[in-house]
Amino acid sequence: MKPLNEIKALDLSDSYAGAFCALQLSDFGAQVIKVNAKGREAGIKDSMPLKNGRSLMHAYLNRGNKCIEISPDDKADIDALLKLIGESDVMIVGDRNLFAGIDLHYEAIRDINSRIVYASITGFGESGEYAGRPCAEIVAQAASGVLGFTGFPGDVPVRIGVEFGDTLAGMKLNLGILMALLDRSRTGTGDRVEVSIVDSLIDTNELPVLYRTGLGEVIERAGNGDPTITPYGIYQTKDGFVSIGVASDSMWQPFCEALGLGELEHDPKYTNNESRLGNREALETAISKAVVNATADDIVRRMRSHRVPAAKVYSMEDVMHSEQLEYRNMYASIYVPDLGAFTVPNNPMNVEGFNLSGIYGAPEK
Amino acid sequence: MYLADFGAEVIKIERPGSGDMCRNWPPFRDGASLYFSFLNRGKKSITVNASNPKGKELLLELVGDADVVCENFKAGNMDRLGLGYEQLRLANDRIVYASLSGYGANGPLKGLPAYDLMLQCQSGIAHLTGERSGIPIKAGQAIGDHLSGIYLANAICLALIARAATGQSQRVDISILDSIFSILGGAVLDYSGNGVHHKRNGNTSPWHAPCDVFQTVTGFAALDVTNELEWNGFCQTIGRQDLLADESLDNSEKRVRNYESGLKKIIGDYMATRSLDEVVEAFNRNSVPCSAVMDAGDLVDNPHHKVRNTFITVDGKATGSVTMPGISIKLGNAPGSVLSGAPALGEHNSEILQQYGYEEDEII
Repeated sequence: MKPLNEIKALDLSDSYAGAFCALQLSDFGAQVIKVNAKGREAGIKDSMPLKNGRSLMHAYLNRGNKCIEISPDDKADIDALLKLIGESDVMIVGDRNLFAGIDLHYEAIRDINSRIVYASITGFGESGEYAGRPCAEIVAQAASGVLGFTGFPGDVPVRIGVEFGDTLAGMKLNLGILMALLDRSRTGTGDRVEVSIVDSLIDTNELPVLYRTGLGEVIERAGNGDPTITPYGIYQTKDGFVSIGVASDSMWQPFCEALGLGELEHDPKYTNNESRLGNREALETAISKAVVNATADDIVRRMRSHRVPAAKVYSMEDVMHSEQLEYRNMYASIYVPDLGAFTVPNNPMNVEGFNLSGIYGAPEK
Repeated sequence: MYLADFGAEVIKIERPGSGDMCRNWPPFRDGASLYFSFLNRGKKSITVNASNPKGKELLLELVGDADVVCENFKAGNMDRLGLGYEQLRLANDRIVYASLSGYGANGPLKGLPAYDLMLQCQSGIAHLTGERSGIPIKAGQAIGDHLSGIYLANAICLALIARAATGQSQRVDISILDSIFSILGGAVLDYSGNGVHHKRNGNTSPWHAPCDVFQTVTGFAALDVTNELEWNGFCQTIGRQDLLADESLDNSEKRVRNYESGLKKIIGDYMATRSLDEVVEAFNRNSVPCSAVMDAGDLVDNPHHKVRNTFITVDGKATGSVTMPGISIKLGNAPGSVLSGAPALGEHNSEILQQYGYEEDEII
């Protein structure tokens, strides 16, 4: 038994964010049916990366799910969909235009099934003047202020190189759904949940927002540094990059010892964070010099033995061979007929009694 | 915060004297942290010394009446305090015990100190962010904290749903490293399925093009063409329908390959002579995703976000009124709300101590 074994969910969103949400539901036991509009190109089913012309993304996001196709202009198909809606607990809806001709507004759905949790996921939201604008990951990162606050000052700002907005919004939608289900067990009626990718990202950009609203100050992106703490950043070594962070003054002396920077240890220009911020440039130069001829592993070892937080910048090769991630069962595998088995990220939610094996099947037709 | 926004009574247990570390994080106004005021809106605060026997007794009584305990200590610390899962279960056999830490409750790195920066580095995301020839770049946001926080809230709800069926206590364990790794999606699929090792590549995408950030006369614009329909709309918008017939650009793969050598300059030239508003409007009209690269100032006064209540203003004891990101999960019948600002340190001591029959000087 898993917590959502009794739950039936439909995913009509055909979007990364909606599918990531549905993945959470299915991992924890819900029966998820992915509903595609017939003839639609460029949905998850065709989403990159591909192998032998088939979408690995689809195999991953819809692992274990049942997939059906609906013709929005076929009466029998529409009736079948309405029947499914009548029997479902959750329905995820994205762009309603995919099913033009069928009324998928909440008000219409509620009349069919008053217990359903109706979850809407869009790029810019269902209200406001940007509602309905086309969206994509980099565009959501730009429109939320996230992109503009990433990168070095003076350089072109840079996107976070993964689908952060889609996945975060998917998780927020899922949280809304779970809360609505908890509420339904008391009230007996369903609810409407609405999440936008841009809003979801804005929540993570709290720092520049609070500087702006609270102090009227504009703060700029700060590369790998923290505008308020130093040393804190990513440094080049002989064979790669390492991050080091001295977030409290008590770490300053161990840090200097670990790097052999004895001459700075008691220098009043550096002994507390405020003085270090004032002498940042000279300090950064000294640190860069001290690490550039060592290996990344050596620096990390020295820092850790002095209890100073540090980590190597892992490449994909490193990330796919992490002892910690392996121990935590984060490498799941999916078996797809004809394509074989391949590795996907496992679900990181460890809930006692429902730990996920990490072995999943492909989507079913 | 999610639990408090949606009606849970959240009591923050803080160290007497210093309180939550986050009270010392900038920005400050009148000496109080605005950052703290954001994350702790709607909560209560009491100060308790857990090493003091009376203090511990009170904590166990509070646990007895609670549904959920959240903790974020290094692995093992709560056990040493006598407040680990096994111990709290004895106080409440229906408790949901939720732990969040950098690396999780087990594995070779458990208990190692780490900040968001280190976890971004070890999860692969820093390797994937930045210019191709440049240094890896961390996201400007504490994405590990945000992702693990949302996973924690989700997992707590799952545990509460399970508890309703079983009546049993439940343990939840979330790691920031796992949380970030879990969103690597396509990069993991390409590695395991195709043996392709992704690396950072500026603002472009390994899977479709054009996807980039461009300078317009009035600021930066982000543009993305993810499929053939959008490619069509893109060519229409810039008045280059001839590109639709170009065989070197007739699918995503080819456009990715031929982006740097041709397309990039065509778009750069188009953007360089136009205003942001003009290009965003023109691309959106043809259903091509395009937006201004916004900053905080653009967002807080934006009419779209006014309509959506994206930002809310909350009165805090220590900070006065603060405008902050609001409730991004919008529920119809059971909407979230923020009824009070973040608490001052120990603001609710007298209320809660009175309720449980303790004196303030016994528990600090």
